[in-house]
Amino acid sequence: MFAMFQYDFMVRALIAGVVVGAIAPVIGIFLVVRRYSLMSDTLAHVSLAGIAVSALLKTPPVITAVVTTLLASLGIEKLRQSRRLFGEAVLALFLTSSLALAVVIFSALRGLNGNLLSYLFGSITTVSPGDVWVIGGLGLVVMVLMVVFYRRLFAVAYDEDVAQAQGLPVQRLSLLLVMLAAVTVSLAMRIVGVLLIGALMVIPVMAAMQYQLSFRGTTFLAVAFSLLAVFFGLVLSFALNLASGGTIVLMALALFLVSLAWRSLGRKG
Amino acid sequence: MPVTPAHNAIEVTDVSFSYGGDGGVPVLEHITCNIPAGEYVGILGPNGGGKSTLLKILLGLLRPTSGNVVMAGGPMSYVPQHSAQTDGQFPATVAEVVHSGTLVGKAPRNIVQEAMANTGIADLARRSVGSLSGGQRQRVYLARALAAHPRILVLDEPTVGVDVEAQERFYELLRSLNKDLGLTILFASHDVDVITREAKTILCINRRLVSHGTPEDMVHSGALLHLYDHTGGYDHDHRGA
Repeated sequence: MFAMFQYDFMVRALIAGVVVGAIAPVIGIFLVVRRYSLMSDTLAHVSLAGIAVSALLKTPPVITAVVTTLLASLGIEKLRQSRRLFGEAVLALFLTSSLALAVVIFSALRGLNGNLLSYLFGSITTVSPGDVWVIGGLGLVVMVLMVVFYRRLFAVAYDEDVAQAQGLPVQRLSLLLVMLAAVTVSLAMRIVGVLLIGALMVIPVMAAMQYQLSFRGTTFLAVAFSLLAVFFGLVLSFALNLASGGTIVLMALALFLVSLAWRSLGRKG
Repeated sequence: MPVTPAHNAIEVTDVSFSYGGDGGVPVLEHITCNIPAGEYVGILGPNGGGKSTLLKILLGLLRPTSGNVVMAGGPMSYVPQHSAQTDGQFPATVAEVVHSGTLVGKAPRNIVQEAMANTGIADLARRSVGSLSGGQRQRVYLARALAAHPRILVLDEPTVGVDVEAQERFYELLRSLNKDLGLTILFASHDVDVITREAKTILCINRRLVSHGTPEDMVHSGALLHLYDHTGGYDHDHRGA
């Protein structure tokens, strides 16, 4: 099993996968409990538009995707907080228009179809040494900020009104969460692909929630599930020559189904 | 810092509020009242009469369309309606929720344990909030509010959906917090029985301030008739039943 790690690209994929696997559920649990689960999918499609822009402008893909997704996250949160539009409608607006922009740019830049597929479904071979540094560095920043703001984000997630009455800056904390989600999505794109990022942020959390632990316990268990899914997903995808993103997400799904069965059995017992 | 009873904890001057700003649907009109520190005040009114809106203005969650609010009584904590709370799927323990009340300002070290002990939920600390009864959950939210070390406690329909026995215990707890710790307490309810039994003074609100005084003042002034147009379904013979 470990023979695959004699290849540099697999080592890079594993490092990037571990970073993304650790931060995705930490952000994901807040998205799930605040009913923002669709946010990750929307930001993923925006990051695809960022990749398209990077191809057009010949700029570094991951950095361009991060910047584009951060700008979009600001727009999404401002529009949602203005309450001029329903929250879901704002997400649908950004999701579809980003996809449209990406498709138009990719179609104008002919010959990028293979590249597009790797971004849509993830491709471990596309993780460059430079990507590993960017993913590692930004991943560390995301994790540190989540640890620092963890309790405040919990208070806001549990009850916005109470948190605001307490004097917490609810709008700024919500914006921070969405911006960190934007960065995470951009980083995860190489590993699981745009179409499957949401799953990596949400499914391990859903699996961990079946055990009815504390918020902290659920977060740690979700991270463990996510890392297991990333590791065994990478191993299986390499061994069986499968798409890495899909394999990782199917591993996470298997963990969810086992957890669901465990809870059902527990109830009956 | 404790406030001497002679001071007003809350001063509300000519406050109006409309959803949609000026020209919108009026919810509150020209409310003026002072709440002395250490008072135990009930806010009574029909559904849609503006009770929750007034509380949200006091809490800073809504801005009045016009008028002015001065909060001079120290830090304030909020216990929202039970039905407004997060559903049972939220993965959180009692201790985590109570702890989330301590995030602003300097709270004493053992405030979380103290708040749980004062509300009688110390033995529930590790339980999932979703697994608790309505009455237990309200105590958790009260403990979270107390963990913020407030001088003013604001509660919005705190016992909706809570069984009668748990309601009695909850209000007994509020009475002791008011008496023993000197907290200023404001709670909104549409339940005339509860308000007249528990509150020292009552604000009757139905978009406008109908009356402000003791429970006896309210009954004798005929405020209930104004409040509910006619009898509002409230039968004096059934008081305290």
